[in-house]
Amino acid sequence: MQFTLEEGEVVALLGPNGAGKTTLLRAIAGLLPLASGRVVLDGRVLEDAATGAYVPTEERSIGFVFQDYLLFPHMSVVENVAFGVRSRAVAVEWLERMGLARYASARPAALSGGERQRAALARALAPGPRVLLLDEPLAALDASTRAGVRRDLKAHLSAFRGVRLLVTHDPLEAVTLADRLIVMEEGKQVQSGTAVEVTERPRSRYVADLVGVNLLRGRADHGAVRVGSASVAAAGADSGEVFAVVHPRAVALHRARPEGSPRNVWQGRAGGIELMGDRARVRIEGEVPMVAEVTPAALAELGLVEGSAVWVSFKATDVAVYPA
Amino acid sequence: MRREKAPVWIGLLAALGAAFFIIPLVGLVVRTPWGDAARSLTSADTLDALRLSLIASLSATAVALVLGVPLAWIYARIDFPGRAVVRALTTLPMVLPPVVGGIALLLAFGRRGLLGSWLAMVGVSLPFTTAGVVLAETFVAMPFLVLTVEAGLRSMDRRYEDAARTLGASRWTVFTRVTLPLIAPSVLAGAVLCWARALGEFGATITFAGNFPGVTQTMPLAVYLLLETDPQGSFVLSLILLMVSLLVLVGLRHRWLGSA
Repeated sequence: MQFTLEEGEVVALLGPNGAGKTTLLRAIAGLLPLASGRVVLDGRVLEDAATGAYVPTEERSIGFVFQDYLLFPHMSVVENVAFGVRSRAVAVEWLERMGLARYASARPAALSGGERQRAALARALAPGPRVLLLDEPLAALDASTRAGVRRDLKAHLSAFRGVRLLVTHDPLEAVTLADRLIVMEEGKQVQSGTAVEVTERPRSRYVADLVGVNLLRGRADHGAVRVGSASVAAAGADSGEVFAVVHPRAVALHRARPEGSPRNVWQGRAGGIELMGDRARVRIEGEVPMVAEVTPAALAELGLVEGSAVWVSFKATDVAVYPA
Repeated sequence: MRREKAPVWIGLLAALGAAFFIIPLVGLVVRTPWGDAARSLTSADTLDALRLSLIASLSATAVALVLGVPLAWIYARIDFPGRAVVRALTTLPMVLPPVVGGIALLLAFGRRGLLGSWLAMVGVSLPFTTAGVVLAETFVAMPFLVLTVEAGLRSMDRRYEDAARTLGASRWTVFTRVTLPLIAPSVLAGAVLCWARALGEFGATITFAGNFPGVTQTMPLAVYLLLETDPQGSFVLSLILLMVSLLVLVGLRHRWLGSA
């Protein structure tokens, strides 16, 4: 994968656990040697596996906020912040900016999760780095404090004028904190763009599941998308490899073969049933697996249980098609 | 933990095992002539031995710290060819009969030893000197420090070092300001163990440094020799060494005896 980060934008690297996000971040910081590839900052090669060039971490001007913050437990908060910038006065300024002045002489262990995160951010920013890397900045917090800390973090991120890259597996975090998303799976970049671009046109099962839509991949063939040996009628399908998205709300379920206009009708078997608030999501197994969203009342009326045979229908105009 | 009743035979053998340790210690305490203790303690020879023991064992611990912590760091962090062999050789004194260690030291640093003949040319002679005592004690005791510190280095969270590096710290700054403070408990435990071992050193010391009162005669040597001339005095000195050992054990109980 290859990407360029610009000043003035916050980029989130989004992906499931084990996608290699943290590994990538550590490699950018020089904490893990590159097996192949290059890291370039402002035109200066920091590392190039091909030539063996390597600028050590301590000379890269990269601030790093670690997942569990890693504040040095044997130093006070102000000593932690002063560690990189080598100035107590500057450290105190940063603590004031972060609202932590009264904890200056406290040990990190005495701070709450959100305060620790601000202290870690102050420590990373105090030396004035060109790049700020954040690894799952909110993962160590409990749910009750996360929203407030996220708001603070967004403000502090926008105050920093360098290159900002954060890693997260939480789509909400990515969408609220970042201007641009890079979706990463199994060590590869699968998609990149603004939150709207990514969520409207998912290009992987992972993103489709995050957004909660049915994602099909197949070959467009004049008004249909061929998925394996099946064919799904789709308005706008022309030719070439395409993705097709069907929102679960557009998928209707029936006991008997439905009459009328829907072009896509087939029989399947109910798999898992999941209740989400006032909605129920039913996974329908079959040649083209689909998730349908219905009301619990409809679910009761259909008498659906796992394993029941059921008819699926949706309109060709409810299928959004775009090139793969 | 579930309360369990011990089977009779296991209980008996275990009690025998415990008594094996407790009875000699009780004997030492009971048979020590407390009335003579003050006299024995203040005799010139005893004070000399005590002073020499403290100086030599503390010096040995200092040498072990200066050389042993870097050695432990290398063992824990650097993968070099032959590491297992070097590590085994430097651990050997823990299991080697100390007398053999003393002879090995003579062959290396003695007047005609591998290095000793070179040292003699510049006028340095180690055998039968106080420096020789320190050398013998370091040889026997340093492995305890190295192994303890190495274990501490292996179990510490290395990401703190990563964090320090992203903050622009050089490798040396990382070591002194982050690594060392984080493994301080291990260094302290290793130093105390090393010191206790050096304080009790007998075999290597008497072999390499001999037994000259005031120069190389440490407490364990004095105890052994007093047994012939003044048994009462040797009991008192033994008790002092026992007290020191007990203090070390109590001080380290959380590390070595669990919370029991």
